[in-house]
Amino acid sequence: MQISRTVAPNISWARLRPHIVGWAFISPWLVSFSFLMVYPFIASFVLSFTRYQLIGEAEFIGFENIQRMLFEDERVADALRVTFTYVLLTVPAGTAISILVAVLLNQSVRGIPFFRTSFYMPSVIGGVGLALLWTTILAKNGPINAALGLVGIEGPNWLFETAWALPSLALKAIATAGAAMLIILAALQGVPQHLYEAVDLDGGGEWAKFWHVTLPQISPAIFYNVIVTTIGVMQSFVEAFIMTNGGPGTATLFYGLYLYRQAFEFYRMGYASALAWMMFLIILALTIINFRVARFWVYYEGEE
Amino acid sequence: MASKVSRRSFLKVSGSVVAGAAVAGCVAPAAPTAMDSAEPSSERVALRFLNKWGSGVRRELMNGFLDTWAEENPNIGIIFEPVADFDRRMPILVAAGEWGDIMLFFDLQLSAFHEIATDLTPYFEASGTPFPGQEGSELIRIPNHVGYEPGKVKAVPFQLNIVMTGINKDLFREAGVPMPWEHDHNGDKWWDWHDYREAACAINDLGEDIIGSNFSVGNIEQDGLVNWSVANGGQLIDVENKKGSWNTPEFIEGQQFAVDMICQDGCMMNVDDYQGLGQALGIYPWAAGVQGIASRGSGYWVSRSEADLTQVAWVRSPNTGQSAGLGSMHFHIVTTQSQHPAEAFEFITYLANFENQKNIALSGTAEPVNAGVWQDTDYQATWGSPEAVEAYLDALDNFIFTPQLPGVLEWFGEIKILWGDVLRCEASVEEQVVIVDQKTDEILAAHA
Repeated sequence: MQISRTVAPNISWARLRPHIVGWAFISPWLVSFSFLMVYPFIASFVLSFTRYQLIGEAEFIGFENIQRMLFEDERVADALRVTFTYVLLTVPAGTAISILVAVLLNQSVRGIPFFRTSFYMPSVIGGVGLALLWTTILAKNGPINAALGLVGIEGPNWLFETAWALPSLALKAIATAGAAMLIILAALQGVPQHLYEAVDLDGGGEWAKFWHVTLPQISPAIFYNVIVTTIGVMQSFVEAFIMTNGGPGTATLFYGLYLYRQAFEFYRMGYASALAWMMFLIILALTIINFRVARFWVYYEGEE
Repeated sequence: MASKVSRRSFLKVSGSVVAGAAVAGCVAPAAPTAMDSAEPSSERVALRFLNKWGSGVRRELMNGFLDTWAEENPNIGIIFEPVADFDRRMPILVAAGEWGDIMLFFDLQLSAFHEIATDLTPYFEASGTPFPGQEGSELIRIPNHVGYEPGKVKAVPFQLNIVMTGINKDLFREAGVPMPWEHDHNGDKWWDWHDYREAACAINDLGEDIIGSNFSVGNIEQDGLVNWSVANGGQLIDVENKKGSWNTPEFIEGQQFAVDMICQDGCMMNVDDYQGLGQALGIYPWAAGVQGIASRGSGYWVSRSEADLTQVAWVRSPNTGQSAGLGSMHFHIVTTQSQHPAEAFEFITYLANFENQKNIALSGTAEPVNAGVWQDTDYQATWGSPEAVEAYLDALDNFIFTPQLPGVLEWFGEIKILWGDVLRCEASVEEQVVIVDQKTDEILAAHA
């Protein structure tokens, strides 16, 4: 016997069931998304207008945090300067090197799986472990300085000299760009062979193939990497937290680290929330700019 | 036999579980109700105890304390939860409402979080125990505005850190310099800062891999450095007026002496250089001062057991004759969430008793907060000489606490950056003290 469960004249149980089943299946994600993403997102926005020190009530202070952040706190300017410099040091160089390595790893030579694994391996190691490893590599008595010593060069104290600390962190970031390399390698393998044959017919050489075929064809993958890497680098934290603690002075004071200090060392959660929102807006602006500029250099199949 | 579950039943159950979990996550824990009585209950209770002594020698000590407690107090169970990365995680636990019954804080943390601490005054009164530092108390003084307000106590001290000088006696002998207690300044055998410099430079000359002196890079990097000025009569902050106080002759003279050792003599490493090298060699310079590099061991107390190291009081300023500097303290509090504050109070006072504090002192992991231990002959026997004992006791009597003002945590963060320029020999002491004072005034005003 079939039981009709009519809730309303036009809404039958049979029609509702797929929706309910669907919602039930996504509910674990929905709950965690709501509580772990949406709620903190809204809460941090509200907190950015308050003075809140982890315990007790948050006190509404209007735009005081924003005023301090924009006009009074010179460390915000330091942190932004360091972070943007880091982006400029790592994103272009990291992208160029990951393209170069991907092109090399796309060749058919003996032992290529070993080289691919070797270049990708650093990306698999966790952030903290990698940071500790590089702390040892870049130590005053570490292997880099030992190697320099063999050719008569006295290496600096990489992580603790103002001039070298940020470039050292950038070196670490560039040398561990395996994930970007992998994406570009995948894109390289999707470049149609007939395009290269067309260049051959036109009498073009290897450079012409790379410049007129390879680069345009992999430009969406490069664009994706630029976007993701820029966002990731803007949010850098672990390197400075583990390797230099922001020093010497403010030489590696990343914005993320400064935000963390305000929140969990100085217990100024309201101010830290305001800083977080400014970071969000900066990243949003950068991403929009990247998309606008992409029109001029990213090629999609089927476009004119 | 496995029973078949229909899809509908599965969906019902999973839906209920998800909804239940969501509701459970939203419901606030039941509000704790502090017991009216200051006397411990006779029923069996269990207390959550959050402390950082979770590894190495400290963990062994803590296990011993807990074992003895369990034997003597079968009705008061302690659930010990060691908190790794304590300085950073404690605030997160506070924010998350994960307070347990008993928490350990260092003074500046407690200054920020004192609202979650139960007023222990009734428990002190009920047990007939004087407040810490007061006449008849076996516990040493604790800083104002932290666990201690006029007529009110909110914390029991557990661990003291006063800036000390760790010396490697092997290297002193090798360099042929007198030990700190082997000098003679008109009958006073304790060394002053000129003797310190002489020793540091002589040790420095022993070889490229030996560093004569460094200063503390512990929780508060400048502990070791500002000690030169504090022992010389300078103030870290003018607490009374809530203003900067570095631009004074006493403070500048102390700083200039230390900075000259870095920038002119090269006998003391600046904090950045030492960090790079220290990490390479596995050195953790908790105690400040002349500490020739012992390439064995990874921590001060480990080095102490493997090299001929001794911890002695700070050097004297030749101007004031003082060898006292800064001190910081860790406290146990009973949280306002605890439903068994009387039992918790009993446990935290047990941790500060003579026997336990003597064990802590003899292990070399911290200075004791029990005043009786300072007079203990076993402990004094570890200090090297009668002159060292005298200097140690002088340091204890006269050390000053880090100022417990709102904003001091931020101030320390800023000072590390500003003074770093001086330590890297990129700015002069006299110019930078003016900038430090301006910044101090700004920060303290913002937090007022």
